[in-house]
Amino acid sequence: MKVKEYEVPEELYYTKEHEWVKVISKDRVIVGITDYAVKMLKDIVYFSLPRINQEINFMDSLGTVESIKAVSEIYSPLTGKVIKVNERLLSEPELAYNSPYQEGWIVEMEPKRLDDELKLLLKSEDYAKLLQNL
Amino acid sequence: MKRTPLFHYHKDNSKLIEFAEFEMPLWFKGISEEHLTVRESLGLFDVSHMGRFLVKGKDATDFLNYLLPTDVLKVSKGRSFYTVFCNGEGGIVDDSVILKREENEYLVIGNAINIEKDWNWLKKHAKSFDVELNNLSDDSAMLALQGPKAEEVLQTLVKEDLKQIKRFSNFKAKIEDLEVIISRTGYTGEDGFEIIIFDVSYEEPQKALNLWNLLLSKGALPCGLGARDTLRLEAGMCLYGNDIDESVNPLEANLSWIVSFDKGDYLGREALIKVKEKGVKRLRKGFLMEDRGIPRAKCKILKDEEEVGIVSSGTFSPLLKKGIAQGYIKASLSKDDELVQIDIRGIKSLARVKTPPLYDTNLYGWKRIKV
Repeated sequence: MKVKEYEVPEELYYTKEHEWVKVISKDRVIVGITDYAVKMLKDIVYFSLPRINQEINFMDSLGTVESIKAVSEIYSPLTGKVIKVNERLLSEPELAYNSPYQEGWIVEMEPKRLDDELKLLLKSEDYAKLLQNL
Repeated sequence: MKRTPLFHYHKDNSKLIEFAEFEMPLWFKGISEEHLTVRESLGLFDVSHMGRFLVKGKDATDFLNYLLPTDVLKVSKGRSFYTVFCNGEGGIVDDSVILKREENEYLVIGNAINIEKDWNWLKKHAKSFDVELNNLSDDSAMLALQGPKAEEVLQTLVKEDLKQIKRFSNFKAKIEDLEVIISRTGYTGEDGFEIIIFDVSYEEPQKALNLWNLLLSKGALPCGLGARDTLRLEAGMCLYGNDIDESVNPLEANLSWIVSFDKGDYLGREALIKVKEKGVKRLRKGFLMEDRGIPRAKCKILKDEEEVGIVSSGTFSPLLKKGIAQGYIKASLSKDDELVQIDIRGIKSLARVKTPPLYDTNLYGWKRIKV
Protein backbone atom coordinates (compact mmCIF):
# COMPACT_ATOMS: atom_id res chain seq x y z
CA MET A 1 0.00 0.00 0.00
CA LYS A 2 0.99 3.61 -0.31
CA VAL A 3 0.81 6.18 2.49
CA LYS A 4 1.37 9.73 1.33
CA GLU A 5 4.35 9.25 -1.01
CA TYR A 6 5.72 6.22 0.87
CA GLU A 7 5.52 2.57 -0.09
CA VAL A 8 4.49 0.23 2.73
CA PRO A 9 4.52 -3.40 1.50
CA GLU A 10 1.82 -5.38 3.29
CA GLU A 11 3.77 -8.60 3.89
CA LEU A 12 6.48 -6.92 6.01
CA TYR A 13 6.82 -6.14 9.72
CA TYR A 14 8.07 -2.72 10.84
CA THR A 15 9.67 -0.90 13.74
CA LYS A 16 8.79 2.59 14.93
CA GLU A 17 12.36 3.49 13.97
CA HIS A 18 11.56 2.69 10.31
CA GLU A 19 13.25 -0.68 9.82
CA TRP A 20 11.42 -3.49 8.02
CA VAL A 21 11.58 -7.27 8.40
CA LYS A 22 10.69 -9.85 5.82
CA VAL A 23 10.16 -13.34 7.22
CA ILE A 24 11.45 -15.94 4.75
CA SER A 25 11.28 -18.88 7.15
CA LYS A 26 11.43 -19.42 10.90
CA ASP A 27 15.21 -19.19 10.83
CA ARG A 28 15.74 -16.68 8.09
CA VAL A 29 14.66 -13.03 7.86
CA ILE A 30 15.74 -10.07 5.78
CA VAL A 31 16.06 -6.60 7.29
CA GLY A 32 16.19 -3.16 5.73
CA ILE A 33 15.08 0.44 6.20
CA THR A 34 11.77 1.72 4.91
CA ASP A 35 10.89 3.93 1.98
CA TYR A 36 9.97 6.65 4.46
CA ALA A 37 13.40 6.38 6.12
CA VAL A 38 15.32 6.65 2.86
CA LYS A 39 13.22 9.55 1.68
CA MET A 40 13.92 11.39 4.90
CA LEU A 41 17.64 10.68 4.60
CA LYS A 42 17.57 11.45 0.88
CA ASP A 43 21.28 11.69 0.01
CA ILE A 44 22.43 8.33 1.39
CA VAL A 45 26.20 8.16 1.06
CA TYR A 46 27.54 5.66 3.57
CA PHE A 47 26.68 2.43 5.36
CA SER A 48 28.49 0.74 8.18
CA LEU A 49 27.35 -2.87 8.47
CA PRO A 50 27.69 -5.59 11.13
CA ARG A 51 30.04 -8.56 10.83
CA ILE A 52 28.77 -11.91 9.65
CA ASN A 53 27.96 -14.19 12.63
CA GLN A 54 27.59 -11.16 14.88
CA GLU A 55 24.90 -11.72 17.52
CA ILE A 56 22.62 -8.75 17.99
CA ASN A 57 19.85 -8.14 20.52
CA PHE A 58 16.41 -6.80 19.83
CA MET A 59 16.65 -3.07 18.99
CA ASP A 60 20.42 -2.91 19.46
CA SER A 61 22.49 -1.22 16.78
CA LEU A 62 22.83 -3.14 13.56
CA GLY A 63 24.99 -0.47 11.97
CA THR A 64 24.68 3.07 10.74
CA VAL A 65 23.44 4.81 7.65
CA GLU A 66 24.69 8.26 6.79
CA SER A 67 23.23 10.97 4.65
CA ILE A 68 25.39 13.91 3.69
CA LYS A 69 23.98 15.73 6.66
CA ALA A 70 23.96 13.22 9.50
CA VAL A 71 24.52 9.73 10.92
CA SER A 72 21.55 7.53 11.88
CA GLU A 73 21.53 4.23 13.76
CA ILE A 74 19.94 1.20 12.20
CA TYR A 75 18.22 -0.83 14.92
CA SER A 76 17.93 -4.57 14.82
CA PRO A 77 14.22 -5.44 14.71
CA LEU A 78 14.94 -8.94 16.07
CA THR A 79 17.38 -10.79 18.30
CA GLY A 80 19.58 -13.08 16.28
CA LYS A 81 22.72 -13.78 14.31
CA VAL A 82 23.77 -11.95 11.16
CA ILE A 83 24.19 -14.49 8.36
CA LYS A 84 24.60 -12.22 5.35
CA VAL A 85 25.22 -8.50 4.75
CA ASN A 86 24.47 -6.57 1.59
CA GLU A 87 28.00 -5.60 0.64
CA ARG A 88 26.81 -3.76 -2.45
CA LEU A 89 25.66 -1.00 -0.09
CA LEU A 90 29.29 -0.24 0.71
CA SER A 91 30.04 0.86 -2.84
CA GLU A 92 26.50 1.76 -3.93
CA PRO A 93 24.76 3.22 -0.87
CA GLU A 94 22.17 4.84 -3.16
CA LEU A 95 20.66 1.35 -3.68
CA ALA A 96 18.89 1.84 -0.39
CA TYR A 97 17.24 4.98 -1.70
CA ASN A 98 16.38 3.59 -5.11
CA SER A 99 15.13 0.22 -3.92
CA PRO A 100 14.60 0.13 -0.15
CA TYR A 101 12.67 -3.18 -0.13
CA GLN A 102 14.61 -5.07 -2.81
CA GLU A 103 18.19 -4.36 -3.79
CA GLY A 104 18.67 -2.06 -0.81
CA TRP A 105 18.20 -4.79 1.84
CA ILE A 106 20.73 -4.52 4.65
CA VAL A 107 21.21 -7.89 6.40
CA GLU A 108 19.91 -11.41 6.56
CA MET A 109 19.52 -12.77 10.08
CA GLU A 110 18.84 -16.02 11.82
CA PRO A 111 16.32 -14.94 14.48
CA LYS A 112 16.41 -16.40 17.98
CA ARG A 113 13.01 -15.38 19.32
CA LEU A 114 11.04 -14.81 16.17
CA ASP A 115 7.53 -15.58 17.41
CA ASP A 116 7.84 -13.50 20.59
CA GLU A 117 9.49 -10.55 18.95
CA LEU A 118 7.24 -10.34 15.89
CA LYS A 119 4.48 -9.47 18.33
CA LEU A 120 6.51 -6.42 19.34
CA LEU A 121 6.77 -5.18 15.76
CA LEU A 122 4.22 -3.22 13.76
CA LYS A 123 2.10 -4.82 11.06
CA SER A 124 1.90 -2.85 7.82
CA GLU A 125 -1.44 -1.27 8.69
CA ASP A 126 -0.07 -0.05 12.01
CA TYR A 127 3.07 1.29 10.38
CA ALA A 128 0.90 3.01 7.80
CA LYS A 129 -1.01 4.69 10.63
CA LEU A 130 2.26 5.83 12.17
CA LEU A 131 3.31 7.42 8.87
CA GLN A 132 -0.12 8.95 8.43
CA ASN A 133 0.31 10.77 11.75
CA LEU A 134 3.85 12.07 11.14
CA MET B 1 10.67 30.56 14.52
CA LYS B 2 11.88 33.22 12.06
CA ARG B 3 11.13 33.06 8.35
CA THR B 4 12.58 34.85 5.34
CA PRO B 5 10.42 36.45 2.62
CA LEU B 6 11.09 33.39 0.47
CA PHE B 7 9.59 31.02 3.01
CA HIS B 8 6.40 31.29 0.96
CA TYR B 9 8.28 29.39 -1.76
CA HIS B 10 10.27 27.06 0.50
CA LYS B 11 7.28 25.68 2.40
CA ASP B 12 5.89 23.95 -0.68
CA ASN B 13 9.12 23.05 -2.40
CA SER B 14 11.74 21.95 0.08
CA LYS B 15 12.59 19.85 3.07
CA LEU B 16 12.73 22.37 5.88
CA ILE B 17 15.08 22.49 8.85
CA GLU B 18 15.69 24.84 11.70
CA PHE B 19 18.88 26.82 11.39
CA ALA B 20 19.83 29.70 13.70
CA GLU B 21 16.16 30.08 14.69
CA PHE B 22 15.12 30.29 11.04
CA GLU B 23 12.92 27.80 9.26
CA MET B 24 15.05 27.26 6.14
CA PRO B 25 15.24 24.83 3.20
CA LEU B 26 17.71 21.99 3.72
CA TRP B 27 17.24 20.85 0.14
CA PHE B 28 14.80 21.13 -2.76
CA LYS B 29 15.91 18.25 -5.03
CA GLY B 30 18.63 16.75 -2.84
CA ILE B 31 21.98 17.94 -1.54
CA SER B 32 24.12 16.07 -4.09
CA GLU B 33 22.21 17.27 -7.11
CA GLU B 34 22.18 20.86 -5.90
CA HIS B 35 25.87 20.75 -5.00
CA LEU B 36 26.94 19.41 -8.41
CA THR B 37 24.70 21.87 -10.23
CA VAL B 38 26.46 24.79 -8.51
CA ARG B 39 29.89 23.39 -9.41
CA GLU B 40 28.91 22.76 -13.02
CA SER B 41 26.20 25.24 -13.88
CA LEU B 42 24.02 27.48 -11.68
CA GLY B 43 22.27 27.40 -8.33
CA LEU B 44 20.18 29.92 -6.42
CA PHE B 45 20.20 30.19 -2.62
CA ASP B 46 18.03 32.16 -0.27
CA VAL B 47 20.50 33.71 2.17
CA SER B 48 18.09 36.26 3.59
CA HIS B 49 18.54 34.75 7.03
CA MET B 50 21.95 36.40 7.30
CA GLY B 51 22.36 39.67 9.17
CA ARG B 52 22.56 42.93 7.22
CA PHE B 53 23.65 46.14 8.90
CA LEU B 54 24.14 49.55 7.34
CA VAL B 55 26.98 51.59 8.80
CA LYS B 56 27.18 55.17 7.56
CA GLY B 57 28.26 58.62 8.65
CA LYS B 58 31.36 60.77 8.91
CA ASP B 59 33.31 58.23 11.00
CA ALA B 60 32.08 55.03 9.32
CA THR B 61 35.49 54.10 7.93
CA ASP B 62 37.32 54.91 11.18
CA PHE B 63 34.70 53.00 13.17
CA LEU B 64 35.10 49.82 11.13
CA ASN B 65 38.84 50.28 11.02
CA TYR B 66 38.80 50.26 14.82
CA LEU B 67 36.57 47.16 15.00
CA LEU B 68 38.34 45.05 12.36
CA PRO B 69 41.84 43.60 12.02
CA THR B 70 41.65 44.39 8.29
CA ASP B 71 42.99 47.71 7.01
CA VAL B 72 39.72 49.35 5.98
CA LEU B 73 41.53 52.51 4.80
CA LYS B 74 42.91 50.46 1.91
CA VAL B 75 39.48 49.36 0.72
CA SER B 76 38.10 51.38 -2.17
CA LYS B 77 34.50 52.30 -2.86
CA GLY B 78 32.64 49.53 -4.65
CA ARG B 79 34.75 46.74 -3.15
CA SER B 80 33.55 43.93 -0.88
CA PHE B 81 35.88 42.24 1.60
CA TYR B 82 35.90 39.25 3.91
CA THR B 83 36.94 39.93 7.49
CA VAL B 84 36.24 39.07 11.12
CA PHE B 85 35.25 41.10 14.15
CA CYS B 86 37.59 40.36 17.07
CA ASN B 87 37.07 40.97 20.75
CA GLY B 88 39.80 42.39 23.01
CA GLU B 89 41.33 38.92 23.41
CA GLY B 90 41.53 38.40 19.68
CA GLY B 91 38.62 35.92 19.71
CA ILE B 92 36.32 35.97 16.70
CA VAL B 93 32.96 37.63 17.43
CA ASP B 94 31.73 36.98 13.89
CA ASP B 95 33.02 36.67 10.36
CA SER B 96 31.60 38.95 7.76
CA VAL B 97 31.60 40.16 4.20
CA ILE B 98 31.46 43.94 4.11
CA LEU B 99 30.44 45.95 1.07
CA LYS B 100 31.96 49.41 0.83
CA ARG B 101 29.18 51.27 -0.94
CA GLU B 102 30.33 54.89 -0.59
CA GLU B 103 33.30 56.58 1.05
CA ASN B 104 31.52 56.48 4.41
CA GLU B 105 28.85 53.88 3.86
CA TYR B 106 29.20 50.14 4.41
CA LEU B 107 26.87 47.18 4.34
CA VAL B 108 27.97 44.56 6.87
CA ILE B 109 26.78 40.98 6.25
CA GLY B 110 26.98 38.74 9.31
CA ASN B 111 25.87 35.24 10.28
CA ALA B 112 22.22 34.50 11.02
CA ILE B 113 23.19 32.97 14.34
CA ASN B 114 24.90 36.23 15.35
CA ILE B 115 22.37 38.85 14.26
CA GLU B 116 21.62 40.04 17.76
CA LYS B 117 25.23 39.75 18.94
CA ASP B 118 26.58 41.68 15.94
CA TRP B 119 23.95 44.37 16.31
CA ASN B 120 24.78 44.82 19.99
CA TRP B 121 28.49 44.74 19.22
CA LEU B 122 28.19 47.49 16.63
CA LYS B 123 25.95 49.63 18.85
CA LYS B 124 28.20 49.19 21.89
CA HIS B 125 31.32 50.38 20.08
CA ALA B 126 29.66 53.11 18.05
CA LYS B 127 29.26 55.45 21.02
CA SER B 128 32.49 57.38 20.49
CA PHE B 129 32.09 57.59 16.70
CA ASP B 130 29.88 59.74 14.50
CA VAL B 131 28.07 56.88 12.77
CA GLU B 132 24.52 55.91 12.06
CA LEU B 133 23.65 52.23 12.36
CA ASN B 134 20.71 50.46 10.82
CA ASN B 135 19.72 46.83 11.26
CA LEU B 136 18.16 45.89 7.92
CA SER B 137 18.04 42.16 8.60
CA ASP B 138 14.24 41.88 8.80
CA ASP B 139 13.52 44.39 6.04
CA SER B 140 15.67 43.08 3.25
CA ALA B 141 16.37 39.85 1.42
CA MET B 142 19.48 38.35 -0.11
CA LEU B 143 19.79 35.81 -2.91
CA ALA B 144 23.02 34.09 -3.90
CA LEU B 145 23.28 33.16 -7.57
CA GLN B 146 26.24 30.81 -7.71
CA GLY B 147 28.02 28.77 -10.34
CA PRO B 148 30.03 29.10 -13.55
CA LYS B 149 26.93 30.28 -15.47
CA ALA B 150 26.18 33.11 -13.04
CA GLU B 151 27.68 35.86 -15.17
CA GLU B 152 25.99 34.75 -18.37
CA VAL B 153 22.56 34.55 -16.73
CA LEU B 154 22.78 37.75 -14.69
CA GLN B 155 24.03 39.64 -17.76
CA THR B 156 20.64 39.11 -19.40
CA LEU B 157 19.06 41.07 -16.52
CA VAL B 158 21.37 44.02 -15.79
CA LYS B 159 22.75 46.70 -18.09
CA GLU B 160 26.20 46.92 -16.46
CA ASP B 161 28.90 44.98 -18.26
CA LEU B 162 29.64 42.17 -15.83
CA LYS B 163 33.00 41.52 -17.49
CA GLN B 164 34.06 44.79 -15.84
CA ILE B 165 32.82 43.72 -12.40
CA LYS B 166 35.67 41.96 -10.65
CA ARG B 167 35.35 39.31 -7.99
CA PHE B 168 34.76 41.06 -4.63
CA SER B 169 33.21 44.14 -6.23
CA ASN B 170 29.72 45.50 -5.66
CA PHE B 171 27.41 47.87 -7.47
CA LYS B 172 23.87 49.19 -7.50
CA ALA B 173 21.75 47.80 -10.32
CA LYS B 174 18.22 47.53 -11.61
CA ILE B 175 16.70 44.15 -12.41
CA GLU B 176 13.48 44.88 -14.24
CA ASP B 177 12.09 47.63 -11.98
CA LEU B 178 13.74 46.44 -8.82
CA GLU B 179 16.68 48.34 -7.35
CA VAL B 180 19.23 46.00 -5.83
CA ILE B 181 22.82 45.89 -4.66
CA ILE B 182 24.91 43.16 -6.23
CA SER B 183 28.19 41.86 -4.86
CA ARG B 184 30.35 39.42 -6.81
CA THR B 185 30.89 37.19 -3.79
CA GLY B 186 29.58 33.94 -2.34
CA TYR B 187 30.02 30.99 -0.04
CA THR B 188 30.49 28.19 -2.54
CA GLY B 189 33.95 28.67 -4.05
CA GLU B 190 32.33 29.28 -7.43
CA ASP B 191 31.90 32.54 -9.27
CA GLY B 192 28.62 34.17 -8.40
CA PHE B 193 26.67 37.13 -7.16
CA GLU B 194 24.90 38.00 -3.96
CA ILE B 195 21.89 40.21 -4.61
CA ILE B 196 20.37 42.33 -1.87
CA ILE B 197 16.79 43.54 -2.09
CA PHE B 198 15.54 46.26 0.25
CA ASP B 199 12.13 47.05 1.73
CA VAL B 200 10.93 43.47 1.65
CA SER B 201 9.91 41.22 4.54
CA TYR B 202 8.14 37.98 5.36
CA GLU B 203 4.89 39.95 5.52
CA GLU B 204 5.60 41.85 2.27
CA PRO B 205 7.61 39.28 0.30
CA GLN B 206 6.63 40.04 -3.30
CA LYS B 207 9.79 41.79 -4.52
CA ALA B 208 11.98 38.94 -3.29
CA LEU B 209 9.66 36.26 -4.64
CA ASN B 210 9.56 37.95 -8.04
CA LEU B 211 13.35 38.04 -8.32
CA TRP B 212 13.64 34.46 -7.03
CA ASN B 213 11.16 33.23 -9.64
CA LEU B 214 12.79 35.29 -12.38
CA LEU B 215 16.19 33.74 -11.68
CA LEU B 216 14.67 30.26 -11.55
CA SER B 217 13.02 30.90 -14.92
CA LYS B 218 16.50 31.67 -16.30
CA GLY B 219 17.61 28.15 -15.39
CA ALA B 220 19.05 28.43 -11.88
CA LEU B 221 18.32 25.45 -9.62
CA PRO B 222 16.98 26.31 -6.15
CA CYS B 223 19.48 25.14 -3.52
CA GLY B 224 19.21 24.70 0.23
CA LEU B 225 21.45 24.99 3.23
CA GLY B 226 22.63 21.38 2.82
CA ALA B 227 24.43 22.12 -0.45
CA ARG B 228 25.54 25.48 0.92
CA ASP B 229 27.36 23.62 3.69
CA THR B 230 29.00 20.97 1.48
CA LEU B 231 30.06 23.61 -1.06
CA ARG B 232 31.64 25.93 1.51
CA LEU B 233 33.40 22.98 3.17
CA GLU B 234 35.01 21.91 -0.12
CA ALA B 235 36.03 25.52 -0.67
CA GLY B 236 37.50 25.73 2.86
CA MET B 237 35.29 28.52 4.16
CA CYS B 238 34.42 28.86 7.85
CA LEU B 239 31.04 28.24 9.42
CA TYR B 240 30.69 30.37 12.53
CA GLY B 241 29.90 28.28 15.59
CA ASN B 242 31.66 25.25 14.10
CA ASP B 243 34.99 26.30 12.65
CA ILE B 244 35.38 29.63 14.38
CA ASP B 245 34.01 31.25 17.52
CA GLU B 246 35.21 33.47 20.33
CA SER B 247 37.67 30.81 21.56
CA VAL B 248 39.61 31.04 18.30
CA ASN B 249 41.67 33.91 16.91
CA PRO B 250 42.04 34.65 13.17
CA LEU B 251 45.70 33.54 13.10
CA GLU B 252 44.82 30.05 14.34
CA ALA B 253 41.86 30.05 11.97
CA ASN B 254 44.35 30.43 9.12
CA LEU B 255 42.92 33.86 8.31
CA SER B 256 46.16 35.80 8.80
CA TRP B 257 45.65 37.31 5.32
CA ILE B 258 42.87 39.49 6.72
CA VAL B 259 44.93 40.66 9.71
CA SER B 260 47.02 43.82 9.46
CA PHE B 261 49.62 44.59 12.11
CA ASP B 262 50.80 47.88 10.65
CA LYS B 263 47.55 49.81 10.30
CA GLY B 264 47.51 51.34 13.79
CA ASP B 265 45.42 50.43 16.78
CA TYR B 266 42.27 48.32 16.63
CA LEU B 267 40.24 46.11 18.91
CA GLY B 268 42.15 42.90 19.62
CA ARG B 269 45.44 44.11 18.14
CA GLU B 270 47.51 43.68 21.34
CA ALA B 271 46.23 40.14 21.79
CA LEU B 272 46.88 39.23 18.16
CA ILE B 273 50.43 40.61 18.34
CA LYS B 274 51.07 38.35 21.32
CA VAL B 275 49.71 35.35 19.43
CA LYS B 276 51.90 36.19 16.47
CA GLU B 277 55.03 36.58 18.60
CA LYS B 278 54.47 33.30 20.39
CA GLY B 279 53.48 31.53 17.20
CA VAL B 280 50.21 29.63 16.83
CA LYS B 281 50.01 26.16 18.37
CA ARG B 282 47.13 24.95 16.22
CA LEU B 283 45.95 25.79 12.76
CA ARG B 284 42.71 25.34 10.83
CA LYS B 285 43.24 23.08 7.82
CA GLY B 286 41.29 20.95 5.39
CA PHE B 287 41.27 17.14 5.45
CA LEU B 288 40.57 14.56 2.76
CA MET B 289 39.67 11.03 3.85
CA GLU B 290 41.88 8.29 2.50
CA ASP B 291 39.77 5.57 4.16
CA ARG B 292 36.01 5.17 3.97
CA GLY B 293 34.07 7.05 6.60
CA ILE B 294 32.65 10.52 7.03
CA PRO B 295 34.30 12.74 9.61
CA ARG B 296 31.95 14.91 11.65
CA ALA B 297 32.39 17.85 14.02
CA LYS B 298 34.16 16.95 17.29
CA CYS B 299 35.89 13.82 15.92
CA LYS B 300 39.43 13.61 17.31
CA ILE B 301 42.45 13.86 15.03
CA LEU B 302 45.27 11.47 15.94
CA LYS B 303 48.89 10.97 14.97
CA ASP B 304 50.70 7.89 16.29
CA GLU B 305 47.91 7.30 18.83
CA GLU B 306 48.32 10.80 20.23
CA GLU B 307 45.52 13.36 20.01
CA VAL B 308 46.74 16.21 17.81
CA GLY B 309 43.59 18.02 16.80
CA ILE B 310 39.85 18.10 16.41
CA VAL B 311 37.43 18.22 13.48
CA SER B 312 35.34 21.40 13.45
CA SER B 313 33.10 20.38 10.56
CA GLY B 314 32.94 17.42 8.25
CA THR B 315 30.73 15.94 5.59
CA PHE B 316 30.63 13.76 2.51
CA SER B 317 31.79 15.60 -0.60
CA PRO B 318 29.29 15.00 -3.41
CA LEU B 319 31.98 16.03 -5.90
CA LEU B 320 34.94 14.03 -4.59
CA LYS B 321 32.71 11.18 -3.36
CA LYS B 322 34.57 10.90 -0.07
CA GLY B 323 34.65 12.29 3.42
CA ILE B 324 36.08 15.76 3.86
CA ALA B 325 36.61 17.92 6.90
CA GLN B 326 37.93 21.07 8.36
CA GLY B 327 39.60 21.11 11.72
CA TYR B 328 42.31 22.33 14.00
CA ILE B 329 45.61 20.48 14.04
CA LYS B 330 48.88 20.98 15.87
CA ALA B 331 50.80 23.56 13.83
CA SER B 332 53.81 21.24 13.44
CA LEU B 333 51.60 18.68 11.66
CA SER B 334 49.70 21.15 9.49
CA LYS B 335 51.69 20.72 6.28
CA ASP B 336 49.86 19.47 3.21
CA ASP B 337 49.92 15.70 2.66
CA GLU B 338 50.64 14.94 6.32
CA LEU B 339 48.83 11.68 7.09
CA VAL B 340 46.73 11.56 10.24
CA GLN B 341 43.90 9.48 11.61
CA ILE B 342 40.44 10.72 12.39
CA ASP B 343 38.54 8.84 15.07
CA ILE B 344 35.09 8.38 13.54
CA ARG B 345 32.93 6.89 16.30
CA GLY B 346 35.71 4.56 17.38
CA ILE B 347 37.08 3.72 13.95
CA LYS B 348 40.48 5.28 13.29
CA SER B 349 40.42 6.29 9.65
CA LEU B 350 43.26 7.63 7.55
CA ALA B 351 43.06 11.22 6.33
CA ARG B 352 45.38 13.63 4.59
CA VAL B 353 45.95 17.28 5.47
CA LYS B 354 45.17 19.58 2.56
CA THR B 355 44.96 23.33 2.13
CA PRO B 356 41.54 24.05 0.65
CA PRO B 357 39.96 24.26 -1.83
CA LEU B 358 39.72 20.48 -1.67
CA TYR B 359 38.64 20.19 -5.32
CA ASP B 360 40.87 20.47 -8.38
CA THR B 361 41.03 24.22 -9.04
CA ASN B 362 41.72 23.60 -12.73
CA LEU B 363 38.25 22.05 -13.01
CA TYR B 364 36.15 23.81 -10.36
CA GLY B 365 35.95 27.12 -8.50
CA TRP B 366 35.88 30.76 -9.56
CA LYS B 367 39.61 30.94 -10.28
CA ARG B 368 39.20 28.78 -13.37
CA ILE B 369 36.96 31.50 -14.79
CA LYS B 370 38.58 34.84 -15.53
CA VAL B 371 36.82 37.26 -13.17
